[in-house]
Amino acid sequence: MNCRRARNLLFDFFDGASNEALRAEVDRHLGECRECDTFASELTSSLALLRRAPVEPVDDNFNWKVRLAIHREKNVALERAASANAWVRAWNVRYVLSTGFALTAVLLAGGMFVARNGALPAPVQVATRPLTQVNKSGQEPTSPRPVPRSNIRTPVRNDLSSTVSNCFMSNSLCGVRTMHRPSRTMKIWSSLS
Amino acid sequence: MLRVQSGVADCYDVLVERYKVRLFNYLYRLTGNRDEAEEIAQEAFVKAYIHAAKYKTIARFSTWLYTIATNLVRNRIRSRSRAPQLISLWQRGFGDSDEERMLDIEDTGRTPDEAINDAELSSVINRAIAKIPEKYRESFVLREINELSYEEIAAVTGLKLGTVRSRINRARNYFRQLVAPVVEKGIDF
Repeated sequence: MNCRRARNLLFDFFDGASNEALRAEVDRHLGECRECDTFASELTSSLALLRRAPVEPVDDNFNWKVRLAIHREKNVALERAASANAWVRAWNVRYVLSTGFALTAVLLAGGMFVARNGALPAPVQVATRPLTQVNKSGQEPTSPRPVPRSNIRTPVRNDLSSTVSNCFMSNSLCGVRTMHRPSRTMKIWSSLS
Repeated sequence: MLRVQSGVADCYDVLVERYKVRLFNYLYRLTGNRDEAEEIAQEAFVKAYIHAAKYKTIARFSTWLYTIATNLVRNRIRSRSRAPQLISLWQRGFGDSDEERMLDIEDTGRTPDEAINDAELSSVINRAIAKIPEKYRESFVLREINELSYEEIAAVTGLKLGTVRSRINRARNYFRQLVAPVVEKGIDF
């Protein structure tokens, strides 16, 4: 048993630890070591002094002061909540107004653009039929071939025959004239007229 | 506390009445100032009420209350250490020399065997505790004045059990050295 261990055990005994064997050992050490004996007596008397410390009384109005402080805190919290709500409402109004202004500005800008540049161009029609003629072998030529003039029937008279002959010619969607061979019936009809 | 959480606010008066003396004495021994101790005690009760929803029944209400009060004291010490102030008991630590360790006991002309009244005893104790290093003071007061268990002190201070034990024993040693002249003089309180 050394001095350090003896002093640590003294603290444990003060806290209520009970070990008869250890206590006897510590007592033996205290009998042999004067410094530890002084330490033990000083410790005992100082902690006894501390345990005799008077209980300080509290102010009579303590409870009332606590209630008042709680009431004030509640009021402060309510005021903060109210101002936060007002702030959120104000922000919502601003948001709506700013969004409205932005939309109006975009519409005005779009209108001014249309007014300056006129009507928008008509949409371009996309061709669904091939632009070039297919030759007799069934292959598409690499470049579009012009239609021979002899195959083009131009209307000479503004009458039924021309109307009929005009029926033989038709414009494709892209404007290039394609030929239809007239039937035998149509030939007879045109010779009669 | 469960009733307070469920909205019965009048029950809180019962809790205040039950714990105010213990809390006030803890804070008074810790700060050494009566007015400050009362102010912090009130603030602790108010905070406990405002944050009643955060209280969990796994711990005792007193432990929770002491934790709030201890944190308030620590915040005050921190704010004082930042701002330059007049030297007070807060900034006086435990000195290295024997002279600094001893308490200055006023010589009132009384004989050593005359009794000192409670106020003087209280003053001696407060001055001794104020000289104990700050990090040992909380655990020491909770153990010796409020008689909390080591587990409760660990919960309040946020320290490990072993750390609490060693800090309390060191504080006891400091206190013994500080009060030694009073004990030597054999003054009967």
